[in-house]
Amino acid sequence: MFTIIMGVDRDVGRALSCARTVEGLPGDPGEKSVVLLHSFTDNDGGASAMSVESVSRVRDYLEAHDIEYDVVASSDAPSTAIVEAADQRDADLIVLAGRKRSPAGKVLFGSVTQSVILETSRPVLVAEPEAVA
Amino acid sequence: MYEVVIGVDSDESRAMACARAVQNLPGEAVDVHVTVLHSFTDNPSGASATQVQSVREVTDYFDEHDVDYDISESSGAPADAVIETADELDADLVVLAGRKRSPAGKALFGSVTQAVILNSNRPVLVAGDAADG
Repeated sequence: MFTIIMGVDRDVGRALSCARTVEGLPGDPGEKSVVLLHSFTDNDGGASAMSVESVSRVRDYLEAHDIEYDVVASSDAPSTAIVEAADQRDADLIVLAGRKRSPAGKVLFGSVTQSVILETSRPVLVAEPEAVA
Repeated sequence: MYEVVIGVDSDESRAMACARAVQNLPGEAVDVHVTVLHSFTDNPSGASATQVQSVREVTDYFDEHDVDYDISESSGAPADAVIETADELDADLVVLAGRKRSPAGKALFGSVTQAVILNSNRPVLVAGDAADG
């Protein structure tokens, strides 16, 4: 089994880019197992990760493509949560949406992606950018 | 066929980290085709990429693992060469060694990797550390 940690924030487009990138990897869907990780940096309402729209859209996508997954919520800083989850599960790969667009359309490097790449010794896949609408 | 472009500099362990990252992808080796790209930033003797030790180690590794490959070389800026080659081949994935270690052991972000992530629309895999395996 090829274990993938996918870190998603609240942005639906960026989360779906990660899902599409995982689906686009070679191998059969049955060879891949995804841990869908969402960090609540501010969760006063005690919401569950399942209720986050970006998470539920990725779940729908993975289900539609027969890719197995777990959902994990964390209240740690996102980069720490991702690196620790990857170590706990001895993940083969970490997938993140690395690119953001500024309001002016300039591509920026996501700080979580940058931190994860520097803090982990595992392979990190920066997902394809979301299509420009 | 899943098209992969790996950009290798003259550092052998970083190049091998990229090769292992490709070999560790899910799916069968026969479904993957790799273009091993080396950019000569300074090549007064007119050497060919096949003479570069890091390229030879990577291609020996792919021979052993039955991964199909071509060797490509360029004399431009490495990030531009990687992006252009990936576009020409309509690559599914770009693989680069992202981390360097400072003499004190601190992880640093490679500038070529950073430039490729920001300027390419394709998934970019930052290989794991050279030490594993």
